[in-house]
Amino acid sequence: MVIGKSVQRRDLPEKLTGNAKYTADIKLPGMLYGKILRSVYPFAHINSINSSKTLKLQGVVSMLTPFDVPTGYIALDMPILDTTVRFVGDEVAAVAATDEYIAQQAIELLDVNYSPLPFVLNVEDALKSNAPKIHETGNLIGSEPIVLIRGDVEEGFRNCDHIFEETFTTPAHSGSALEPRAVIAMWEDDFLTIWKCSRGVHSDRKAISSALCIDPNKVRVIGPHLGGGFGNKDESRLAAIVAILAYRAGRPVKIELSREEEFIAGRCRHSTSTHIKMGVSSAGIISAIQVETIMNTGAYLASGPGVIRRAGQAALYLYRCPNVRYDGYLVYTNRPSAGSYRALGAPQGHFALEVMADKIAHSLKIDPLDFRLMNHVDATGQPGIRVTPPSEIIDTQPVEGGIPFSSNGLRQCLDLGSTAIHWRNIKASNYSDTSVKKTGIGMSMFIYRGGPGGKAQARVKLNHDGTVQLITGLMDVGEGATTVLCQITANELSIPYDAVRATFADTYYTPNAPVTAGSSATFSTGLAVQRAAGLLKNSIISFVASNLDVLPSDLEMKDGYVYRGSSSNTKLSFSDIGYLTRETPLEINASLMPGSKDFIINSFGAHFARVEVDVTTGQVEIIQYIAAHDSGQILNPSLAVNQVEGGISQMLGFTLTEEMIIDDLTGGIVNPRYLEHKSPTILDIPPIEVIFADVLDPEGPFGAKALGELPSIGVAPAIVNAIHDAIGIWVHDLPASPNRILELLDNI
Amino acid sequence: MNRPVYTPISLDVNGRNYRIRVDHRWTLLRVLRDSLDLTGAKRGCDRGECGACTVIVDGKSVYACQILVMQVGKRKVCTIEGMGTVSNLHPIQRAFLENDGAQCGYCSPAFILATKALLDINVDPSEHQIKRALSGIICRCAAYSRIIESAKECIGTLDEKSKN
Amino acid sequence: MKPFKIVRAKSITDINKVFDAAPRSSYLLAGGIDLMDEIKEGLITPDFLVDIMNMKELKVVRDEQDGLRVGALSTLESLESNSLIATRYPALAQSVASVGTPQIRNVATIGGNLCQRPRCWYYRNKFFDCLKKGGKTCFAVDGQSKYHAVFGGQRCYIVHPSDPAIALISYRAQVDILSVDGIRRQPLTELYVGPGEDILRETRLRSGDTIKTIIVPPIVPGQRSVFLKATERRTQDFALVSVALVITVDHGFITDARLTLGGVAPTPYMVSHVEDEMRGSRIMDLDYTKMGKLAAQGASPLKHNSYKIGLVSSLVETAIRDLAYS
Repeated sequence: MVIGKSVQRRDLPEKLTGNAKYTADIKLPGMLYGKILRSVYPFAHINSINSSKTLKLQGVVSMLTPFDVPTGYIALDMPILDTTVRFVGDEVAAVAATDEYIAQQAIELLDVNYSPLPFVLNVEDALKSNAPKIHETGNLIGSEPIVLIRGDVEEGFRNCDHIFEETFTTPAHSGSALEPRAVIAMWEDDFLTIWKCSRGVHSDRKAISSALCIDPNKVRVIGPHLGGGFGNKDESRLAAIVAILAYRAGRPVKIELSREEEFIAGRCRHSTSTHIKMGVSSAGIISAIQVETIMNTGAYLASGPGVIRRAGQAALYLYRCPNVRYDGYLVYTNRPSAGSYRALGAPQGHFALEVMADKIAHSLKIDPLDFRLMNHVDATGQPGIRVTPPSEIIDTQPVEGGIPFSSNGLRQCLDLGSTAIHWRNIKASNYSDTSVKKTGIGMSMFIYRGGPGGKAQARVKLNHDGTVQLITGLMDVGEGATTVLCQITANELSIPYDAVRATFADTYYTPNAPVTAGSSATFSTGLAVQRAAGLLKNSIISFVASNLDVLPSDLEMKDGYVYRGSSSNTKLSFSDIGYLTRETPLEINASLMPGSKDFIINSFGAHFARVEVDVTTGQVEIIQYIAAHDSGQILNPSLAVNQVEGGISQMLGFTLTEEMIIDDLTGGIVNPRYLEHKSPTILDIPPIEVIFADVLDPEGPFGAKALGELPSIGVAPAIVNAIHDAIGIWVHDLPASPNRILELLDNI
Repeated sequence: MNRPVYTPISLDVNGRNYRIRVDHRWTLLRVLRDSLDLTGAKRGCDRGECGACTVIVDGKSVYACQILVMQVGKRKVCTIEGMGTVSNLHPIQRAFLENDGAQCGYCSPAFILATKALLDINVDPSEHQIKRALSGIICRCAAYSRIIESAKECIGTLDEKSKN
Repeated sequence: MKPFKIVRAKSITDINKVFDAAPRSSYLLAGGIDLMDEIKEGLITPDFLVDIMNMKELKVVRDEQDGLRVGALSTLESLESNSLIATRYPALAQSVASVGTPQIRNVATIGGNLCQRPRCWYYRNKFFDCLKKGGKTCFAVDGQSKYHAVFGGQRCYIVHPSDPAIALISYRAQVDILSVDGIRRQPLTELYVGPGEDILRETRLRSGDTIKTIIVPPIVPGQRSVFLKATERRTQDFALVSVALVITVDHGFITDARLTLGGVAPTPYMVSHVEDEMRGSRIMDLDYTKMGKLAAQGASPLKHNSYKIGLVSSLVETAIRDLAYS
């Protein structure tokens, strides 16, 4: 069995030796370098661009402005370039030149005539009736909030003993993967090849070909190694711009964004304001949950609708409750565009709900762990009646009740995590600190869709040398999808892991695939890979059966051989079979729509943190962190542990330090650099213990469920609850940075 | 200056002497990546804040993006390409492989070189010394726990040959 | 980035030759850490960078009768690993170790660290044409002021960025400045100038002047010192507030005290009224909390930095307590 083994991460030797090529590492003969001119106004109309000085500059080869751009759209609300700019940093024009210095000088020489427009940075202002409209359709996306209801919250509030209400906010912060976005475009006649930092080469190809009005079959998108995605790098505007520059130049063009551009024009996590109201009995049983989230999507929609929807799922489904209501407002402003960032809205939604849960438990003098044990959703799902027709696949983010989960290890996570951190003992120890450093303990739990994604496809082929080629259009964004999918292939065919070769992330060679998103790669593509490999196994057996003139049932596949009977000496190796089939290789395509008609497929977890808060400096130190996860069976423990530790460590930034800070008067981001958008360093991370619940999901490949995004969800509430336990203050607004802690302590 | 100023220099990288003509504006990083095609050193921020461009100059870890190539002079530059190869990994690289000390890999060359710079002068560092020595590099995948384990694993495994 | 030329200098004459020819567009290049940042950001557009790393006289580190002489070109790493500094001047060692990252300390020089430009995010961002760059506004006044000055802003609310400067001033360090007229020695405090006097610069160095040596006076019996720095991250972070306290204790009484704060004012902020209060007191009897409060007296915060007031008080209190029990 290769499944369940910690096989080494694929491509790691190349990465550790500097041999792995990322997009920016690629250089083509005759390649030009491009730069983007960005708006200095948060909202403005561009009247004209005088480019005479730019065009006179020696070394300038091609240019693109909104006045000579093709008319296609790269997204619903985003042309390739526009004569209206909507945030400070929005793309205005682009130039390609023989070197980067010239390209930079060239864009600085562009003389742009702007008519600045009144702008709006905050959602409250953007929702006013007289607010400037950032897009024709109005600032509230869809013109109304999404409203999701189960039961009757008013009824729930009438039948409770206590009602609790609070507002929580979270700031925009940036995933800021270490690798800045880069794109290279090259034309050979009318055939376009793009190398780009990508999370989905096929979706990129679709967006680019549609924006440029060219046949998708004339576009090839290649995703070299990706230096971190975290939900980002799923957009294609930059690629379209580079493609046009290259077309006009008749030479390949490369653009690499600067770090500052990454922060501003990359996509950040949506800032949110969440108002939450809960009705609870004196015994602590929840009868109603009502949540309203207002989310700032910035200048463009991007993946906003998915994000606002997901922010509500905790409220709708984490606690067993007959009466819930979620209202989600997604609002345009003149801030840099928000987009997908690890777990979309889930961290924001869980932060509000899970700190609220602790506040309620505290008020009712119930241990926060007991409060959750009393109320968490269990395997039977939510009360209510199924609405989805029996013949339809169940949404992984349902609102309705009456549907069980395929598996639900939440209770196990609560038990395993609380035991590991000695929750009961610590809570009973009645600790008090006399020093300036106060200790506290806190927890959170979480639920997440993910797993079932879009239509998944995989191709598996027996090579003539006996190796097996796994071909998918998926991108490995650094999380290790290639490793795990090759493990699945090897396992299904009973061959060594090393005997699997992989082709990924190139539209030319691979079948269509979704974006690597929603923690879906292992589950969805994994199922397709498993099916394809299983079918290949059958076709290999059939081939051998006819070759040896025996019945397929007499054959057995084991350790890279097909045996006639289990103890027979008559066998054919994969290399033999590969050689015999070299003229017409055995190859299987499989595609499927992942999902279940009977069950909700969700992953779960519970996080526990012990902190030490220095009341003189406001610094929070995490001294212990326990993460208990139900992601079904773990296919590669080493990679999974790394993923969980990384997700937690990354989100310490969201919790404690990171924030994109905007200058209200100009709309400019003041801290577009690592120095001041303070991402955690190696000295900031706590010892983390990762525990996986013993759950075998009946729907997932080898019992697996989603994992990648989950670790990022529970961090902020667990730590903020621990901070309260330490110093008695509730942090309602992230990040819980020293200045905020000090200010809150000051106001006691 | 209206026109770039070029000077021919010789540069010692990984024990090899390169004779190149450089624009005075060029950083060591730019020369490594663009002139010498040694792309293991990455450009993450170009401001000395992320550490992805870390290389070793005369035994000390430095940010190649903040040093002008004209400043390097006769000093010896060691990049990731001067360590092991895929088929013959350096013990530090092997430790990172065996301990899964990476995710996306963009910061890996930097962490490996910073580990080397530490172990070359301190054969038995404490965990805190390791973290401090590696604290100038950001890993946004935040695979820090695995990176620390990888670096710890290297202690005592380096013979004289794999040093310097 | 505009083209520039690097010129190697072996002497002050070499330096001045370049600066005389192009006084407005010549810059000294040592470690280059801060300089590169300014060039890349487009804040300065040099024609000439005068590389002074070959000037041997700026590299000497020697223990002499009038104190420890530290050549301006000493890297921060060399000071961090200097055992004499670690034992005699712990506050200096602590301050140096708190700067940047190993990679920065391996390259950055102490002279460059003392002369680095402020980190104000409006100043550092080309998008904002602020007072310090010759513009008309200090954006921090009505804008984002989390990291800005609570003392002595006077139109421009930058904070002094160098941690070692804070420590050195508390040790009453002096600097030897090399110029065409020879060498002049002055207290390090006098190197710095606030925005009230000159908004475009932070030091009084004249064109072509270069710091040659920093002289840290010999320690006296009973001297104790400490450096504390509050940050948001545990590394690679400039100070929210930093404190350097050097005291002399004789038979339990404080005979001399020197308290300097960083991160709170455009120049290193010396709190002489607290020093006066401490002098002559029995260290164990001193009201540390009161001293802390006193140190923050007169602060006038902007919109987002009032937390610094409490932080100043806490750090000063902790610093005195640390030294009382050391």
